[in-house]
Amino acid sequence: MVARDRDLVEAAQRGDQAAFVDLVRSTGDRLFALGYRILRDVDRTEDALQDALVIAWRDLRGLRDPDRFDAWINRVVTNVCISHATRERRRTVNLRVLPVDGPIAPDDLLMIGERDQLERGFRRLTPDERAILVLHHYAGYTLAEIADALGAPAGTVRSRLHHAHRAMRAALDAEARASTTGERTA
Amino acid sequence: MTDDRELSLILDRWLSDGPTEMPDRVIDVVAIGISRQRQRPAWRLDWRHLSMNSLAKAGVAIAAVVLVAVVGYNLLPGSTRFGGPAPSQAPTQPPPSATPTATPSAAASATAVFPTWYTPNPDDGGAGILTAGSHTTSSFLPPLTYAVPAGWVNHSDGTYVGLFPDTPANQAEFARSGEIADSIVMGQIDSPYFVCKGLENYRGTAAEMAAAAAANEILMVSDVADVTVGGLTGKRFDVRIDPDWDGNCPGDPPGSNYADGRTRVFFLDAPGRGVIVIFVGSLHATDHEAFVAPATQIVESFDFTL
Repeated sequence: MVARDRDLVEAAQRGDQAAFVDLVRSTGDRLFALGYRILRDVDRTEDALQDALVIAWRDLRGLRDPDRFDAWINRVVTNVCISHATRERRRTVNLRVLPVDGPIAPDDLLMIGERDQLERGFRRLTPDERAILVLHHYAGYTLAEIADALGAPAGTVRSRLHHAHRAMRAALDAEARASTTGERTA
Repeated sequence: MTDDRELSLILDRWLSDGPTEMPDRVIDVVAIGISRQRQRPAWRLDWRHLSMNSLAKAGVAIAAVVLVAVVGYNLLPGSTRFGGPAPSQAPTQPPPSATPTATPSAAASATAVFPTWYTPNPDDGGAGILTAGSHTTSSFLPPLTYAVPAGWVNHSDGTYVGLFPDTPANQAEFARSGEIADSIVMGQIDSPYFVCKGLENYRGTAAEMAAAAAANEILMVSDVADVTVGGLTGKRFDVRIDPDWDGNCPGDPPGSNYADGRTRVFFLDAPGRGVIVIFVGSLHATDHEAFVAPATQIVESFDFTL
């Protein structure tokens, strides 16, 4: 953490709202990107991030080491996103694939069908599994770091990551089989 | 078949797609939100953002369920109670030998000695292995004096107080899962946010919280008894999660599964400080019977400085 951010954290811990807003400006893009990967929806990510940041403000004085702010705020955002995803999952009876917000890279090794299957497979995961997958593959967390962030035993994180991988692999393989069948039919 | 390396590359690439810029309106909303939200004093923060042992988690889970009930979330029809005698009033027998010992301080916590099988969280501030006798918390507020027999460990003294016996059962559980099987956890719940969203500003008395627990259809609760601990009055009962209930409160720790857990709950009214909650709990029902009596005796030795 750069000295400026540490100063901002300490000022915010003393109740300086402007300092906290500055912190939000400097970390917001990263947190939004993280939250979006878990929730897969811009509007819901905005809602979750707003909730998480107000909670972070409320509890900031409990952060003993300002240098750990980044890990701490990641943890808050991740847990709030899991809560939002859990509520959404309960409301959603039928699984459906929502359109992906944001740009789709044009290159690309991933075909449209693969993307659809990944999206579909991802939405079948539990919120915890989604978060674990995102923290591992997007944020680059180790299993130990994920366990710390989620407050779960490392063994649990490992097994959930394994399950998530298996589910995502199954989704991709289903797409591959469908493509092969389509080619044969054609 | 997609191999592991290929799958990792695909996931890395897929997850890298998508928006990476926070809309400015989020900042506006947050600025308004924090202007209306007071910051909590550090010592009143909830436990979820700390590294917790199993009992703290179990306590949180049960607290979440209890408080869900307070605002009328009825997730299952029908109400059940489990058998067994109601918790009695605090017995009059004295706590274990109260040989005074050095009072742990914050500095002492930094050099605390723990059982070799246990890995403490340096942020938790526990005093480590306790000598038999009387001890006083160094960080938790309100200050607490308590008496333990030999063989107990104070693993947390900060936002919550945690105690566990150095037993083979705890050692085995810690080796297996990294958690503690049997322990005492105490904290304050006056505005917990670890419960479901929407309950954050709930405040209740010990009696109201106990009544809500008893009425909660997803808990199995013994009769609620009056109790006095350390000069504070409140309620005491035994509770477990209804084995037929398979839900969890959003925000409970991932992987939570407390179906086999048994907890003796104390809700104590602390004037001006909300409700102090004490959980005497076991992850496994088979351990609880032997654990709850000596642990309750320790709780009954609690003396708060208000």
